[in-house]
Amino acid sequence: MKRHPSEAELGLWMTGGPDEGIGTHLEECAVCADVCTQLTEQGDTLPDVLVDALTPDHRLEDRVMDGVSATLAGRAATEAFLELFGVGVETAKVVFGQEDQS
Amino acid sequence: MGRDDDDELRALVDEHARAAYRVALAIVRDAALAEDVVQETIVKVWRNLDTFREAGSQRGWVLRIAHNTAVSTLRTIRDVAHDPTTMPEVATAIGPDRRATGRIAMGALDGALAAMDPISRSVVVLRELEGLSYDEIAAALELPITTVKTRLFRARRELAIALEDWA
Repeated sequence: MKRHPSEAELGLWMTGGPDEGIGTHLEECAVCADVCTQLTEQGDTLPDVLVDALTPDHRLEDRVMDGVSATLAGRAATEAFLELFGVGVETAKVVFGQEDQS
Repeated sequence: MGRDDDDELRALVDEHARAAYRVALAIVRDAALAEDVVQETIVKVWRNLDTFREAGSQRGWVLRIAHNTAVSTLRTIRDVAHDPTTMPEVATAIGPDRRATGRIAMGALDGALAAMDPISRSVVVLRELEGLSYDEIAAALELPITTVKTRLFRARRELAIALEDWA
């Protein structure tokens, strides 16, 4: 599209009207992008169905808390094991190193 | 973890889990996966809380981690199974009275979301549901503000087409 689309055309495009190059034009034209921004601000919020569809149930926080706590506890246990294992390896090196030297 | 840590973690979950879930669900389109993403996000946030030094809000930081974690999860899934139709049906919190209508709408919504790229899905959620400013979205997703706007216009248009019966 060589000319700037009218506000009506932009409004129509944003609500599903014909494209006719408007989408491409918007990527390059800050003026029309600003008009779209204003139209967006004036427009209705998204349909309730979208809000509903992306809304979790009321127990989400409890499940997340349980999962995160279990993950953190598991990692802490793993880190403790690896630390002990590391100590064990170092100890073995010292012991067997001493035996080798004896 | 001590009691203070438990309380702090709970406060973190209460403050950010829902917003992170919406971002994650819009991207991965599966409720169980979205919860996994939220858990991973909170773990990452918790473990890096001391290093948070960003100029922007903590909320933006958390949502960026949620977005990146969800995108990473989606890539992993696609590597495992290339066919998107094998993904589980999206679970919803729609009440019983709206369930029948909601199911039909969810089909259209799921189709519209599937047609968008993950960044556009996040832009829609961050703007329309979380109410972030264009600047905040640009910072959270590390995008130019013009890209944020263009993605939002396109996303709104696609959703309007998909959901015109429910708009």
